[in-house]
Amino acid sequence: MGLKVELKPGERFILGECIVTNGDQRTRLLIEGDTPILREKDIMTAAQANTPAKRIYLAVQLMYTSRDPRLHHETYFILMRDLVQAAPSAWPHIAAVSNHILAGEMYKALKCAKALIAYEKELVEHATRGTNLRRGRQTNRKSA
Amino acid sequence: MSDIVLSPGVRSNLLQLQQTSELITRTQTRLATGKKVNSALDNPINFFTAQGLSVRANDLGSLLDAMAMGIDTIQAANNGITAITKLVQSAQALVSQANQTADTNVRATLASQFDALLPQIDQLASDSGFNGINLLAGNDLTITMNEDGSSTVVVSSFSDTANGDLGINTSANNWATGADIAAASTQLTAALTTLRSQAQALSSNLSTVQIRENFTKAMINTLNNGADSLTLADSNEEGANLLALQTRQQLSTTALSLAAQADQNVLRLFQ
Repeated sequence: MGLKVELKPGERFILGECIVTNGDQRTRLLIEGDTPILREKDIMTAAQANTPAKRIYLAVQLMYTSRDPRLHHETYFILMRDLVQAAPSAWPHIAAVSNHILAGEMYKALKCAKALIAYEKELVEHATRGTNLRRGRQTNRKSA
Repeated sequence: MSDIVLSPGVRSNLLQLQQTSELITRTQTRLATGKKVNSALDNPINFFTAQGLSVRANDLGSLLDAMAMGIDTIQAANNGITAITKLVQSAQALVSQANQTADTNVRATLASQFDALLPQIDQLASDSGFNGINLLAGNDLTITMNEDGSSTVVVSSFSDTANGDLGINTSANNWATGADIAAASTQLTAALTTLRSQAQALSSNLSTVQIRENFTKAMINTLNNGADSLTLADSNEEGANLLALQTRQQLSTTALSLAAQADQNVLRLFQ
């Protein structure tokens, strides 16, 4: 079963160890085989990876696009352990990522890592917004 | 699962991932219950302390209901006293009208009106109960203030009938003489004084119970706060932790090695 990729003019994507850049017209490609494929919008560069969850995404992406994913496992586990210690509630996301890596479904692992980034953003926004939800809930609590 | 072939690299990490799966289940329970500590096994001290706090909060919560009922009972009695005071005052008006006339017929009419008022007082007193306790008809109210019942407030009852604490007798001799009227007037004044002191006793009891009620509410909040901070997974705290981790990772070698790995990867072509 092949993967259909539709490209805008000038859009790039990773195909295996190469970068494919589209010409100046829309292109529809059908790719078959077991090579890593990553669209431009899904690519995270090392410079962009500035939060714990984004670093995990980058690590997974490195596993996905490199010939030997083992090189990146150690980095991944360090990052994962740090994140879990900081935010235990992120476990379900990390568990999903880890399970996909274990099953070799690297593209699915990347998608889960994306969900982890969204969850991290939510938590950080909570903290930076300064609205203390816990306190709010407690004052609203009716005494029994 | 025979169609999934594990590469050696993935297999080497299998054990590590399997060890984490236990943590995953635990975290899922935490998320489902919203609590960081769910059973005694997670963290015995925190769990039992938190459970103790929650149990005490619940005990106090039921006491709070009893206090609210007690406050309502006192307020019902206070309403009764207010109404009885008005009735006694209208009886006083009848007496002063009788004082202003020498006509025995008029006095006799006023006296019969006066006598008709007295059963009204008795009925009001008997109708001032709340939840089966009538402070104006001899039912003492006991309000329990703590969970073991060692601290209580007892509100003593009165007997606010015309013949009881108020001591108002029916009109003597159809108020034919000034002395009869004066006797009724003295009784009414004494009754009003009694009612005022009763109202004062009630209001002091009321404020005692209200103070205890507020204290108990604050106590329940404190207990729940304590239990929550011990067992609730705090998303604010986690957010702050993540920010701290972000800073720490920027300074760590992991980020550097990650960047180096990316440089050796096809990703470098994107930079």
